[in-house]
Amino acid sequence: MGRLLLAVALIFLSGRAAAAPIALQFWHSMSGEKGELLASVVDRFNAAPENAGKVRVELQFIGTYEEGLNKLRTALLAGRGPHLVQITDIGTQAMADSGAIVPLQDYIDRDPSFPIREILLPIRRYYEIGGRLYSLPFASSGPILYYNADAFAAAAIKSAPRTFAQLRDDARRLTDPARRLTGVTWPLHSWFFEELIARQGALLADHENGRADRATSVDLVSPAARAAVALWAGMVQDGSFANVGRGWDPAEQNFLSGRSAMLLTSTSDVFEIQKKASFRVRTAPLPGDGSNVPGGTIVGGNSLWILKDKPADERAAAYRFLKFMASKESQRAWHVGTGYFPIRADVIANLEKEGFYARNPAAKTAIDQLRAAADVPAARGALLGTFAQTREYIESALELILAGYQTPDAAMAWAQSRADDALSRYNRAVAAESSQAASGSKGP
Amino acid sequence: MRSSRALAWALVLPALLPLALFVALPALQSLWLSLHETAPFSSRAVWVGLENYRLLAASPEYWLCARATALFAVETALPSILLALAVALALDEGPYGRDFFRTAFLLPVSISSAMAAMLWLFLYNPTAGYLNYALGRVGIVGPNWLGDPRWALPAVAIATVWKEMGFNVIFLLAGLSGVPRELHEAAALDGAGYLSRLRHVTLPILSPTLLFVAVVSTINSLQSFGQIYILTDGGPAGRTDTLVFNLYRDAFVNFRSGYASAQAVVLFVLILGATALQFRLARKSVHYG
Repeated sequence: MGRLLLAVALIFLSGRAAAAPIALQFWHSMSGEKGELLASVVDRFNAAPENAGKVRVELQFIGTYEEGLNKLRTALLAGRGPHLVQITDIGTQAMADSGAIVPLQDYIDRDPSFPIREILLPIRRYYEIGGRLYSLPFASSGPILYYNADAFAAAAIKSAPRTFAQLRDDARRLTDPARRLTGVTWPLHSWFFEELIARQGALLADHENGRADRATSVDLVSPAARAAVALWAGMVQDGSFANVGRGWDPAEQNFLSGRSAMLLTSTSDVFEIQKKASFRVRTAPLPGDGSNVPGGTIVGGNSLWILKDKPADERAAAYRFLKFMASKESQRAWHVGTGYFPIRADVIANLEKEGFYARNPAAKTAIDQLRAAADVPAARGALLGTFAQTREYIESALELILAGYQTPDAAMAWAQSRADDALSRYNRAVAAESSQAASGSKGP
Repeated sequence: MRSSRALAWALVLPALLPLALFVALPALQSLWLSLHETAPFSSRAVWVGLENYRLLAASPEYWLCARATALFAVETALPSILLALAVALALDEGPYGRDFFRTAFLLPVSISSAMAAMLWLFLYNPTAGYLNYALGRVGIVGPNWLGDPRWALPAVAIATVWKEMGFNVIFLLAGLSGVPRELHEAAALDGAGYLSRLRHVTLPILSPTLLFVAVVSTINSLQSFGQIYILTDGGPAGRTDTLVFNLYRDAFVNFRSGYASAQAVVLFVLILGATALQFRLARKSVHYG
């Protein structure tokens, strides 16, 4: 019996000594073609000579961003989290507060070869907290205007609208109730409300959008917020906006079927929309209020996080994988394959040289818009620990407003009071948790 | 005597143990958690007493959820029982096609609720949906079913009734086959028409089955989740935000475990109460032959 145990122990030890490859669990939310593309990028990492037999990244699809965050939380409470996880943009503050992650900056500080200077500033800024980059921006996108060039020609409209006023005018001219055609549509999603505010250079939350210090309150009745709602609700009222409700697909279908001549949506769908449309599709930057207040669109998308609860060598391997994801080759493959922008300036410059954007002008719009964004808190977007909940309140308020049930001010004041209540509860809980953790921790 | 009791326990234990472990224990944990507050990613719970319950009672949104839930229960349970009764009576009387229709009505029950909801999502789609296309062909401009605060709850209810009704049909058909022919014949000899036979013979004998489907339909409607998650996500403007859905959001999106647990306890008490009420009402009118 004793001999048997010894033999088992020896086998086990020798297995360790021969350095079994480190298996990195990478949880992600990319389904369909995007998931396949991600898998091919990961395969390239696994097959690289310096990794083969030593490190292996194992992809695990964990559902939507919402489901993913939830599974991560459950797994962490059970002490069985992954090494790497892909988290939606608005989960940034909650992840930073979770106590479960290592900021990417900790590794970048020790690695001069990390291409931090190549990462486009607006993208970097979004994922920074207090000047430190917490996660690797991965799939990044922004809102742009898509329009049906055939419908524009038929209505004798020469160029895409640049301002809210022009958008309203053009939408009205493109509307034809008899043929059930509307001028414009976009999904009922808080993202558009937030983007229209940022485009006007205004803040969504206090303390410089939560960038100078932890946000304690949101402002949903600022002049910029009112202007955004007035634009949206005004067009619904005069019949030039097709309100097709929540979800990303219905608005896109409305545009693709020719029912709406213009569409606001993410750049990440640019290749898909062009492929599916039976008319000429053109793109233009998100319209603004026409003033000169510095602002811009906020980067949306997701980023990759390193989790803390693993041995140091495995975390270091996870960092090496993120560096690979930030490489020119990975970024190029991802951008060209999906329509999300690359996070690197040199990838864009190279593609420009090769004439990629001359062939795909629609893909260029978002990049130009991103470069045009001012480096101000408004365009960096808000950091809120309760962003998902805040969006739910904003969307409920928008639905009440667009249906004509409540005035914009009443509905948004309600949403603001609920969002602020949730935020202060969250902030209190996190503060209590971190003071507890600080008094209870034993060394680093 | 003692050994027979031991035997009884031994026989019950294999069923009792998993129930205790996977149902009773988590339920007790919910009760405990409902008296605490936690940070989103923390396992440390801070005692807050009845604070979560006080917050619930003071939240106007939660009362709106209760209202949506009650409306949804009425809009699904009532039509699914009445329609199922009509279908069951027709199939019971009808000379042929009984097996075919019984299967046809049961089909929606057998598919998963997620898949059923996806089907209805396509049907209700405001641009490409068949429903508004069909309405358009007869000159009616269909509403934005899932996006209009007036229509969203009825739209989800229609999808739910379609999905659940077949279950009631099966039970009512079984109940109807237990109505003795002789009673009908005797009543007919006494000059009773179809309606009075239905009223005085069929329904009294069917009443235990009707009570059963009423209880099950009500409980099902109170627990509805999948179709709401897929069709409306609780919107528009909270019109389909039922107690269960709100609980889900607070627990798994907003990460407020304590507050969500308090809602689970409230829901448990409500379902218990609704069931007890139905049995009490039934005692007066149900006839157990």
